[in-house]
Amino acid sequence: MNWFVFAIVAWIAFGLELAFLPILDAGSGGVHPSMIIPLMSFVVLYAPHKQALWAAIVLGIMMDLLSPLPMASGGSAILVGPHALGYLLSAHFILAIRGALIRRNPLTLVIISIAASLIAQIVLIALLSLRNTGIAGVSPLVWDGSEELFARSFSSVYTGLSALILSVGFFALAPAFGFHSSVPTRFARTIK
Amino acid sequence: MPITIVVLFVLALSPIQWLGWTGWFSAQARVIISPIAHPMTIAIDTVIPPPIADPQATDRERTIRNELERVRTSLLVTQAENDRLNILIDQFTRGAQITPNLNVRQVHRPRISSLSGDMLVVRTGDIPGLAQGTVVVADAVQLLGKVSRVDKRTSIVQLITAKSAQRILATVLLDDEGARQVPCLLAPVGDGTLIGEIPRAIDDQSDEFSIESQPYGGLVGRPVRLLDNQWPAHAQMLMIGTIERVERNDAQPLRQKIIVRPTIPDLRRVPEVIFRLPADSSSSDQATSTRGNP
Repeated sequence: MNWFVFAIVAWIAFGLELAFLPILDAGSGGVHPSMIIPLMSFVVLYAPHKQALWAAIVLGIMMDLLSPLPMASGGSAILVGPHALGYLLSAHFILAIRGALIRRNPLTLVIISIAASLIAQIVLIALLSLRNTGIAGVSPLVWDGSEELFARSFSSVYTGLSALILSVGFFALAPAFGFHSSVPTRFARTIK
Repeated sequence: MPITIVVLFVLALSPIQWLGWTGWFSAQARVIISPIAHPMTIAIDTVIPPPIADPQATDRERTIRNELERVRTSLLVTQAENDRLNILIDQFTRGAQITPNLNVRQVHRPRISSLSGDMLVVRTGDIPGLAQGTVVVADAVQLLGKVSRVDKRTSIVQLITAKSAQRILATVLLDDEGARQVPCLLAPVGDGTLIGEIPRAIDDQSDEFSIESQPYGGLVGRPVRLLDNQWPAHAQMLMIGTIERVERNDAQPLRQKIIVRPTIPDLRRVPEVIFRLPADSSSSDQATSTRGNP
């Protein structure tokens, strides 16, 4: 995989994510599509195993750094890990099933993005709920797991829409990414 | 890869005060993303302009309207502050009258937010004498709960209605003079009420229990006040609530259940709370105690 192209595309995707946040926010309830999850799903669909996992971690850490969490004291905290681990588990999930997928179909990216987003959000909610129980120290976050689960589940479904639109660009850019993987497929020839 | 995963787990669950250094990396990440996010935001705002009030108005009309709104806002803020101070003076006066023989300092502070588990986060600042266990009230006499944790800027108050709160010994006032009282042990239910048991009167030993003929007569609406040695002396007889309903107790026919609801319908949403502190804890906080700004 060409990491330089990946970095440029990720940079643009983060720009889209932040710029479209207030526009695409559904009712200001925290429901908004992700631009990063479709990119991560696309890369993991095609990239070699190890590179795919590292790409997911890098995107997750960047997402963590750009997502301050409100604290009960009125401040905010930057937690590195929840998004990264969520994306990593999502990447594992995609790697496990990608052999059975028709990867060139945009709908595959849509479905995979929704599923990956759900997995990532569940991991994130579990980690933050765990640390907010108080076992991890003082200064609890302003965090309601049930409300977050509700909003982030809808966000995951909403992410399907962004994945559908972004898939056009991703598939067009696929040669530039320089994916060279030999993934055994169940229904087709092995992709080289 | 395994080391990375372990490090991420540790970072995700580390106490926040250990993660101050992440702010620097976050700032660098924003520096990297801003050159693409900002032009995109400008482009999106150009294509989809943010909604403005009255787009037909001229710039001069908008300026005059903004000035008018500014003056109106200032007036309303002054009026609201005036009303708030009047209420506060009244509450302090009534609160001090509860226990005139006990010198109690009252410090009011705004609530920041509510947490799950019926906890209030109150911006306290550095109040001398404020510690875990400090009694917290609202509306001068309504018992809210106790301080469960204090840090430099905030305190967390556990409400008496929190399911995890301790049981409270209380007394039900059966008449307005307080001559007839019935003690009861109240336990939080978790839905904003407390439940307790009181004995049925000796003169009502009929086999059939009926709430209408219940012995104490008109229990519903009777006030229930704190009378518990586990609480400080200055907190005794603070209002816990009023009896919302009476239920039969199948397990113990000689006792009946009372459900008590605080006089404030939802304790989690009080805008301000009052800390009742022993006056000897400090005498230097008198000025800040009425200002409300930590």
